[in-house]
Amino acid sequence: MNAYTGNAHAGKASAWMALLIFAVGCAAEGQQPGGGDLSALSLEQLTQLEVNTVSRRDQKLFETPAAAFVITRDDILRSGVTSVPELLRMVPGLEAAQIDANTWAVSARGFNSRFANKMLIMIDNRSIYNPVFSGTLWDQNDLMLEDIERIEVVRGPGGTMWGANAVNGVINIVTRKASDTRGALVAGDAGRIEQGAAVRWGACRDAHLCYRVFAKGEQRSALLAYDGTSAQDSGSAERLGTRMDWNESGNDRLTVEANLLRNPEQQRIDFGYSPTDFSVSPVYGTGGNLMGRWEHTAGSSNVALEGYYGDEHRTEIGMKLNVQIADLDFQHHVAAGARNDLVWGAGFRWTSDRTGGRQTYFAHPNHIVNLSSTFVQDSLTLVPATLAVTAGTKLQWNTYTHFEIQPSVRLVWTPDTTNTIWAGWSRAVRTPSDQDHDVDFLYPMGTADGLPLNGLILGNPRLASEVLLADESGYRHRFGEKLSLDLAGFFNRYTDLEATSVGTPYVVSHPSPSIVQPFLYVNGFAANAEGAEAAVAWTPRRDLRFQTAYAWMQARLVSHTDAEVEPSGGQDWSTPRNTLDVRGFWDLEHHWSLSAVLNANSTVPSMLPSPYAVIPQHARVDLRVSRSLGEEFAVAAGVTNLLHRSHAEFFPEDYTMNSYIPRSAYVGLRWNP
Amino acid sequence: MALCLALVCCDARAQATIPNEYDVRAAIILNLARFVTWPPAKTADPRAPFVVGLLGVDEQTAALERALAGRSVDGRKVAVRRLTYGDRSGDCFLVYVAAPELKHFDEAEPELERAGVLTVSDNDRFVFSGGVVGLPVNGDHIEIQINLGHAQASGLTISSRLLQLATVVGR
Repeated sequence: MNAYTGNAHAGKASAWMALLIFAVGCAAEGQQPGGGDLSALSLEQLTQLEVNTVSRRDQKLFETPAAAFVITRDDILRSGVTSVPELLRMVPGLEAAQIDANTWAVSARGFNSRFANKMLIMIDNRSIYNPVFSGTLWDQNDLMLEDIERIEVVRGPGGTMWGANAVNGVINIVTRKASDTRGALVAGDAGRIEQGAAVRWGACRDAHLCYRVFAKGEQRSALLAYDGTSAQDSGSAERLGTRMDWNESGNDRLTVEANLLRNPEQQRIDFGYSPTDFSVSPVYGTGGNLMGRWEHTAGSSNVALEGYYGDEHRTEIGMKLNVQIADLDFQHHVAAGARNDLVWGAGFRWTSDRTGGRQTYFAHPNHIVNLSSTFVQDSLTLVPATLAVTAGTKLQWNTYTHFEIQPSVRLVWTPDTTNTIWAGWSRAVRTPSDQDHDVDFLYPMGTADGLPLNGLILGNPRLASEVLLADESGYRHRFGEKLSLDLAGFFNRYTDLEATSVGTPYVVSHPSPSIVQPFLYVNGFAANAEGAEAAVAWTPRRDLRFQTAYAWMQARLVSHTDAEVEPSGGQDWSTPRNTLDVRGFWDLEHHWSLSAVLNANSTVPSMLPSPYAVIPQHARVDLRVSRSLGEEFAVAAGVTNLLHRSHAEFFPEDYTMNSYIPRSAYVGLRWNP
Repeated sequence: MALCLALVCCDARAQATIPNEYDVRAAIILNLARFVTWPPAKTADPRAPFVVGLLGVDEQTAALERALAGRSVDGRKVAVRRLTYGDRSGDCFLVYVAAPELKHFDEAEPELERAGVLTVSDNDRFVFSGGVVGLPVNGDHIEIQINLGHAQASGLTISSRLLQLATVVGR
């Protein structure tokens, strides 16, 4: 800290020169901040004044005993990105890597994969995790970015509040209230990589009822193959959605959201990791979801009931998959006694899936999985405004592994208004998915001894849950009002990680001779992962803001069975040791604004047998300039991946072939009549 | 990083054209006192200080301390007292209840009402839970909520000019 200030003073002369060159006037107007001006205003003027409420959100975040990060609406609007995974790059400890035009690998604190199964992703508390794929299909779950109020990210186990598979982290995308999206909005953008348009209309019928409807269409161009030819992975997305908020007397609030989606795409698939031996396979996703949430406030207690229903279809690798989910969750938050803040809840989820198509994937074509859970969490104030302990647990029953318990204890110490120290210990589990239990999938692997060789992946009905014991801690410090630092560290011990046991190959003579190599899912690995994350936010002036996120992490995987095992999908640790994201936002005169992003990571490791599997360290730079034209229009232009003609970000261990992302330019327009 | 250093080495204070909610709320509270009449028993001694109690610790109470320092209300010097849960607060004219202390307000409320104290907080449920004045953020500005019933129970008279600016509940 002192070293930093020291540099600034020492380099003052040259820094002043640089200032002149940049022609940035540092206006030292000598105005008194805050109270000096305000005391001269009348009460009428004070109640009409627009206030900055950022501090309130920052305060809650400052005292939270978890590695939390919030992506604000301002971050989203200035980023120029067109999908949620791209926004997640700014969160320390999150890995968001693009695989092809439509697919992403997103995880926190390691174990990243297209089907990363240790993350819980939600939109307005509705889980978008696909239990059959055991991962999140990002292409099927995008939304209008202008509708997002904020994205809350917590790295670390959220098992107590959120349940199984909230092992490495929880992401909740919170959409804007309907009363905040009134009027019309038309937005469009076009660039080498993506072209899209969206239309939204919102209105309030009276003081209590507000709604909005939107329609969005997007076309994603094919990216590049390793040799610069087309990766044949283009895709498009169509969305239709609505949100309605009903607010009666301030005590009761009802929110209803509905969405329809359609995603025709294609991808290159390859089971043998050969860059030339692939086929182009169509992908089709469609479906809809409906969510309702009711909140009732009485005094210092708050009750919430949320239910949702989703019905989605996905065709991929010749498999037709239908998933229906119905979920009901209840939560009660109450200040119990002088020092306690209690939250408890119960939930039930019913999932049904059916598979069909020419490619069989499961031993049983239908599954029904039930999940019941209850949780309780209490925050006890040990020393008022200084020391508090939060303890809780979730108790869950699921069809596959029956009872699971996920306790957590956290301590937070705020000795004064500029420091927070927290520590936590948690146990979280990742329950097996339909695939882990029941997969029966035959796929071509090449030839062996002159006969065709096929791999056969077999599920294991006796597979146990993966278990994580996590030790975490963090420190936050405010250096005055303009600079803040947020540090977090973790030490994760995993056991019973899913692995693929390599069985003895055998010859099959019917319908024609071939060799079958069986693979069986087993709980075969333990792992120790550790890391540290840092986030720095610096607002030297109201019109200038910088944000830096850095993470360091590593892991050791140890087999704990005698059989020959390989880590199965996503378990082979393909997370770079160092990741860095630096962003700057600058508001200039005449309604111009600039943003610049530098995102870099070290080598992405891989144990897969391909010369292209290890992704060398790389950096990307994105620039964007935008201008408001009057109250209604805003235009923007930008460049992404400025530094290299193209680069790859992730080499998946599953059948999806990765693409190279080219340098691209785009323009965008927003109209708010 | 070099870019950051070059651009921002001068020490000029940032020009804050959008004030933060804590400073605005503190200015509103300072103003409020001009439009409230306390019961005669409280205002008997004209030289007694205008005691403002701050119950709890948060950003808002820090901003209040800054805004109230050295001020006067109706000819009385303002004296700021930091209160914690359980402290006697009957000699205060105004008590601000910080968010972390709201859960204790139920217990303190009867005593404050008997002593004719103007209770203020930033929570939008405060006026429904026994408080007299709430100053929550509504949209992007601060709203004044007044519970007339609670004011009358405390012996406080609110000027009509303030009532016109406020959202009045509990008639």
